[in-house]
Amino acid sequence: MHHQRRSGVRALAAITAAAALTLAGCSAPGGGSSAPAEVTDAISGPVTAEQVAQLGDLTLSVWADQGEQDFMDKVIPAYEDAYPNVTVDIQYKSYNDLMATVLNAMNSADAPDVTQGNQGWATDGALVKAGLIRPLDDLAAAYDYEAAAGDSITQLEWSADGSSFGSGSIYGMSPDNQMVGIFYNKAKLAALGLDVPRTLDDFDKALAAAKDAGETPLILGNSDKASAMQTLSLVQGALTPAADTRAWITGVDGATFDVPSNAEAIDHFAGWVSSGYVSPGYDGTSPDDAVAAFAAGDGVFFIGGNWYAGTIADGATFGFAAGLKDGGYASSGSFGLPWHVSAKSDATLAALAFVGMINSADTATTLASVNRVPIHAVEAGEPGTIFPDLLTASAEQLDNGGPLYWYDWATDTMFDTFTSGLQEVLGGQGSSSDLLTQIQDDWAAFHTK
Amino acid sequence: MRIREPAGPTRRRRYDWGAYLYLVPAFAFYVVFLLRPVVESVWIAFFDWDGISASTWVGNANFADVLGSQQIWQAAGHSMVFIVFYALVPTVLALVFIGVIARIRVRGLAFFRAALFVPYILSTVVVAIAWRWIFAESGPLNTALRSIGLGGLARTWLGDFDTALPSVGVIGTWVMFGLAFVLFVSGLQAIPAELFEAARIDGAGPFREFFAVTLPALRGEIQVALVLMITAALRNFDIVWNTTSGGPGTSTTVPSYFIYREAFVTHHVGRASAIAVALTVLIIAVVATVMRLTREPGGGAR
Amino acid sequence: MNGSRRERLLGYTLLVVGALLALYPFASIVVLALTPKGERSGGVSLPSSITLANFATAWTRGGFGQALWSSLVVAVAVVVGASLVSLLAAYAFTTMRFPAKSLLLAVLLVGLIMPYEGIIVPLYYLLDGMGLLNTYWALILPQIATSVSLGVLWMRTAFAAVPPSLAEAASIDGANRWSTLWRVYLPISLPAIGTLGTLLFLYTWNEFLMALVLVPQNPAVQTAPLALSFFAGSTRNFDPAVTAAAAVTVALPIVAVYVVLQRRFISGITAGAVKE
Repeated sequence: MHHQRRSGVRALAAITAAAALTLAGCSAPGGGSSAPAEVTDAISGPVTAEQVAQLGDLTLSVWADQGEQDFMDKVIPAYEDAYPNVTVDIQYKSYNDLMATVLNAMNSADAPDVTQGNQGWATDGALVKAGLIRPLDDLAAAYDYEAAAGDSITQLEWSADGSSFGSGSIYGMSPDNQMVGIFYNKAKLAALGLDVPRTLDDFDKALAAAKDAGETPLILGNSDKASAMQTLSLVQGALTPAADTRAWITGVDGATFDVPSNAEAIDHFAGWVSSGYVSPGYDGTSPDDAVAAFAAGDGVFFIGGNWYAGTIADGATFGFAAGLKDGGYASSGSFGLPWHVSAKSDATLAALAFVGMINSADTATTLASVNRVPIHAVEAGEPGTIFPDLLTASAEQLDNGGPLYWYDWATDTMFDTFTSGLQEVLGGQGSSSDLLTQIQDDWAAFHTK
Repeated sequence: MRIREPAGPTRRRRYDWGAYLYLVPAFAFYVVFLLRPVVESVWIAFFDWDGISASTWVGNANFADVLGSQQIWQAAGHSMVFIVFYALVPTVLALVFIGVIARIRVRGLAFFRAALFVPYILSTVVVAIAWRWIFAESGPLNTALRSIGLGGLARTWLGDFDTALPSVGVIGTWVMFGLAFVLFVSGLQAIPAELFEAARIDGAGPFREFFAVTLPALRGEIQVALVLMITAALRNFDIVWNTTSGGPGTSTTVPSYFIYREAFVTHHVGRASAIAVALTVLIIAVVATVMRLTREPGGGAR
Repeated sequence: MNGSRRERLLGYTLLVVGALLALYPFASIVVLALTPKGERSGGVSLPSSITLANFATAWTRGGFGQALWSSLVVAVAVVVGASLVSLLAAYAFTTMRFPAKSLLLAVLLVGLIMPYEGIIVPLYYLLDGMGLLNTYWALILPQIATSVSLGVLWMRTAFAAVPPSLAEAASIDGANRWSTLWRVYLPISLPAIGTLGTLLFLYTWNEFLMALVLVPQNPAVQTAPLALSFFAGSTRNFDPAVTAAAAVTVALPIVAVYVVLQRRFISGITAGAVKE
């Protein structure tokens, strides 16, 4: 026993000595301060094939959200035709995987030349702060992007050090407008004798009527945790002024989310759940499964993003409406995931050409053909599909200042704080006032750094 | 009484200095890719760092934050629950099995052993996918419940606040049982038959025999099993990541999940390191406790 | 002794029920993987026809051919590398005298208990600094390091069982330490090395966290469990049968090796227990 103790102590002493020795080489972790990305090769007009040809044969590496695949399947061949010396190598990732890996990827030695990011402090803010993406003011000007984007372009703007959101240089470009809206089953609404509800009151009545008739009023799939947050935006947008919400998200001094109207919104949504209006088992159901069920005829309403129109495409059976009139048709909405160009790319011109092409007026019709709403103007689209509804809804929301952005943009940890907390409140495990306190604390902690 | 060596030229043992050459390859890997990172983990925890730009020294702030964080304590609480499912339940179940089969000669024991060990050799991702299917809304468990009239019990097991944690626990029990069983069987087979005969002659029934002969003889195996299983319970990154991602809400979070998220998603690398250090210390403490509790009683007469 | 009839009944019942429960989950995803699209019945009854279409879809969409190859490369490299360095070090521990011997052994114990979570963050930045992230080396080098503890202690036990008389005989014949290792110790210990290799192969093949952190961006080097996780998580593919087919594909190699070598797997785990 004595012998064991002695060797134990000696082992401990030696390990400590070794630790001290190895530490001796340690300095504060992390590289030096990162310089803001600079633009040394500004373009003045659309990138020509000749300019890109000068780079010789090259491969353009691109990272994209998997939802882009339909669109990319059409854009990439067109791009490779226009710029024959470039081969595009694209990797698709699920939204959650993309958000989890994009920052480290853009910082690594083999960063992709082009990637999608996400507006807000968690992703784009971090990318700008670390100097990893190139300012795109010149690109936006060259492709007439600013006119099409209008006032909403501020969601793509950052100061050079990433410390302020909503003004400064343009760091990303996105070709489409995404928003959460109300998908409704036309036949079932007609059977209930109802019009499409456009106020919160009407919506509540419609849900109740649907339940009485034995239908599932509202289909929801929340295993990704984001969907319930997006559904909430319909109610929250109806009760709280959209401008206040946007100010809070972009980090305006003194803004707060902890206000009575937001508590009311959360409680209202929780009320839907406890009244049995929402499809059961939603936390274990993926949004894709929920959408598939709705598209197959389940349920009366589905509140979700207009990108689901790819699945809920039949305009004869389904319709899409923007948010509720009470709030100026407000709901979570913004431009789609922005495209960025790496500050470290050695194929910058090719990358600029790629991002420019995606965001140009010419490609807008391609975008419309896969049921996404471009920010450039397009024609109304085929009747019989749901697309005309999408265009109307998008215009309605944009004209009324309705886009709320997305709550998780607000800080780098807001996604977890908001979605987990909301799941608990909806599941009857917590109170809305506690949730709002947590949300506001998260915001305050982030903005005092 | 100490024997003093006679004065004069002291005998020195001859050392094989060349031995170090044989040690260098293994220890080179070990120091560079394991020991130094251990030390660095502690070091990084004293900084506030986003992994990319420069870092700032914050002293104990990360540790204080972590130890005071309700979120982390909740995750640690879940880990304790997992210890029950991943270690205690499989051990008890395996001992029950051993107690029963110690009384009989089993034909085809090798087959049963091999079958029961399968869960342990499958990749955690495969395990997660299989059980996500079993627990799915339209999966075998619910289908079976509905078909025998217990449809009221059917639910999305991994998506329901009340059942998500135990459901993940059940997966752990399923994986670890085979490990315990296999370990205990090998221990059982090492017990000399005379001990059992002696017990029988003394008139011991099955329970007496189990507690007097079998259980003490398996002490070593129980110790190893508990250490392996408790370590798995306290880590448990893979299963949580591939089934619930800590949800619904925060009902299945575990510390290792936060380590990953803080380090690689939200980019609070210092905080992630602090959690990692805390988790490592916890594991070492628990393992040391288990080894203490299951060590040889007295001086060990074996 | 064979117990009473009741005891035998109880014993076999427990074993059979246990074996069924142990095998059912894997069997159920095999069945699901073979079920054609129209017949999803909830997994309790067998489908009336089977199809391999799900496997074909999973294979082409998921790039599992490359992933299985990567897993093989990494596992073999780790087994060979770790075994080699471990037996060299174990030889020194077993047959030679040198200062700080017990200290160095104690240091190795750290590796037995250290959770990967405790080192994964600095490992990421270390490999990034070496430019090795997203390459096979990112998986091979750390896993050799984490295998050293088990490897050295294991081989030390194996070498300690070699009768010293054999070593003496060899040195009388003029062999030096180096050749004694390869000509005497190694051949006798081959079974032990085989078991160690089997265990290391299993642990390395199944390693998920290291792959997730250290090779997240490069599908060409991602190992099978990681590729499977990404595949299953991608919501474009919410057909559970295709996911099941992917899982079965990834599990098959290890299951096949297990069926052939299960005695080695099991004796590896249990021998470790006896040693402790």
